Amino acid sequence: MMNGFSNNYIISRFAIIRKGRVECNEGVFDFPDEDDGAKFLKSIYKQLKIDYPKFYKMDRLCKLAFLTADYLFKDKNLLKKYQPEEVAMLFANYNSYIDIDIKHNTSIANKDKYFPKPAVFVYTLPNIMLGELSIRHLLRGENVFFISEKFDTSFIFDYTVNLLDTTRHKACVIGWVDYMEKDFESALFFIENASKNKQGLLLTEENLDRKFNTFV
Amino acid sequence: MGNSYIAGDNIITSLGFSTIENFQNLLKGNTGIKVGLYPYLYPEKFPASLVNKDFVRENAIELKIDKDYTLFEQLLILSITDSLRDISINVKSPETLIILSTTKGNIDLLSNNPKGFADHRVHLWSSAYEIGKYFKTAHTPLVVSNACISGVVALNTADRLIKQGKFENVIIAGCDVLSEFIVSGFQSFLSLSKDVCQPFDKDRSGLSLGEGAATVILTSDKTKAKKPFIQIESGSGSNDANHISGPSRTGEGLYIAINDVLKGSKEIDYISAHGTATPFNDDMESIALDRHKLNNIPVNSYKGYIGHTMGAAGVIESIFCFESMRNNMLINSYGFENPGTVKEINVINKTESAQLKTILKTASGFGGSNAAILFRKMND
Repeated sequence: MMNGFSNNYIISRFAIIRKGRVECNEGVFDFPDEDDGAKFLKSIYKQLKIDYPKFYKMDRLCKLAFLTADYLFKDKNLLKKYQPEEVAMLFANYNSYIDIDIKHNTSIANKDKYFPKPAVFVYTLPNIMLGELSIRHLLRGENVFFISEKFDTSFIFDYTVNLLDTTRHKACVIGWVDYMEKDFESALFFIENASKNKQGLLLTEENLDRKFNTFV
Repeated sequence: MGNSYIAGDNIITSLGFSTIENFQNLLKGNTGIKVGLYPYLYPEKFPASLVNKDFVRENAIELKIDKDYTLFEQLLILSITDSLRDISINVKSPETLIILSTTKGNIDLLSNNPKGFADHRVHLWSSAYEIGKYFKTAHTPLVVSNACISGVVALNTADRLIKQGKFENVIIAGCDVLSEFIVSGFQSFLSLSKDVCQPFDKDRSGLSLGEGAATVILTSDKTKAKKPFIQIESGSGSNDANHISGPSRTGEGLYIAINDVLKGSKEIDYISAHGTATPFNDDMESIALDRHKLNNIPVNSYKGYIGHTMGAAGVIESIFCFESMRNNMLINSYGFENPGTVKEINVINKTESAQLKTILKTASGFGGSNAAILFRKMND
């Protein structure tokens, strides 16, 4: 801590995906097909020129988290400063995985198809996206997934500062990734010590809130 | 910044409705897992550890929570209420927070909602709101949903909030109820055993599912803590970054989490492992313990007694650790007969007395997640 009133952490990178639009450190990108989430996600995948066959196995909430993280980690030097176990992830959402819960539930309601696919069941757990991001970006920090009515910037700010102050972690990915029917929203923030990055916005509750609401 | 001490606890499983009743059954060597036909869960016979629903109903009527709350919420309310008995923690105080730990909460409402609960009740935050309203808490309960490690993560979260000085008391309540949703999901992985599960045994063939609720109350106010004093020493977590539904071959995440809580010390008296009894999970745990040269420390799994209770597991098993310390007893790892993990570990094969001061509790789960927590009994 620099002093009693502030901390030494910054939001060095961010990536936000909402309907038809991606915003990150590199700028704002608009996409067509904004009423069809699946098409939208696919066009982002193409735009990012990713070759990751496992992407197609993921459910759409996980895809959303995956793509947002790819924008977040566009800066290839970002993670080089850290050991895999030094980067924590603190995520939350509103719907858990209700979207895929309904799919799993429909599948078991049909007694001929009582056994759902393992891939469907595993994606009913909200922290699965953390597993996917850990694999993709080699992150071995600790993970926590909260379910809350809204992105609680006050709680998340406090929790992050404490995590970075008192544990082995030197950086943290904060995330809000939510999907329900046609509505989706994903926002990721990379928090690290100001000495580790020339650019960034001081981590405060207000700045986190302002960034999150960039283009609501 | 104070430490977090245990002020109260409760366990509700097939083995009983209080911590003591559950622990007495462990001492007697009773398992609550029964192979039976439970048509509302699965069309064929399978082993499960189920809470006595008649008893829940009677208690729910007594507390007048039978009509307005789901089974999941009733279990949470009953567990929290019992944990608060005879202690002076004020649940309504702004200094107190409730944290709920669950994987699927009210998921059963998607297909079975005869009481007509509102659609949003299937959401975990909605249950949290109801629990907060029932206990008239100052803050809406926080919900942790981190697959099978939720309970340990919730305890770690609570410990940090207390050490940070954000709250004086944190009540951690874990619960999951078995439903067709969950049973079919685990069946789809072919990960369920045909008989009562056998953690760490050479013939282990999969896990047994269980349901239950449990509550731990942590406080920084030592005058409100339960004697003998037990504190949370440290907690940690790590992701394997390997596979979303299979354990790591090197036990990397669990190795890192254990490393972080032990901080170079090997002075632990006993390890309460996750031990689901799937071939890969138990091997993975043996590898992580072997890498730390903890092969000789007594280790057990409680899954043979109550099955895998998912979001409640970490909370229930932590309370069994507290009871083990309070009674200085090592509990037989039910279902274990012959060693059969890739690395040799010291699985407890007989319930016997032992001086217990420091206990390592671990958990691992879907999403490559791992967590560890260290409990210590204090002299005064």
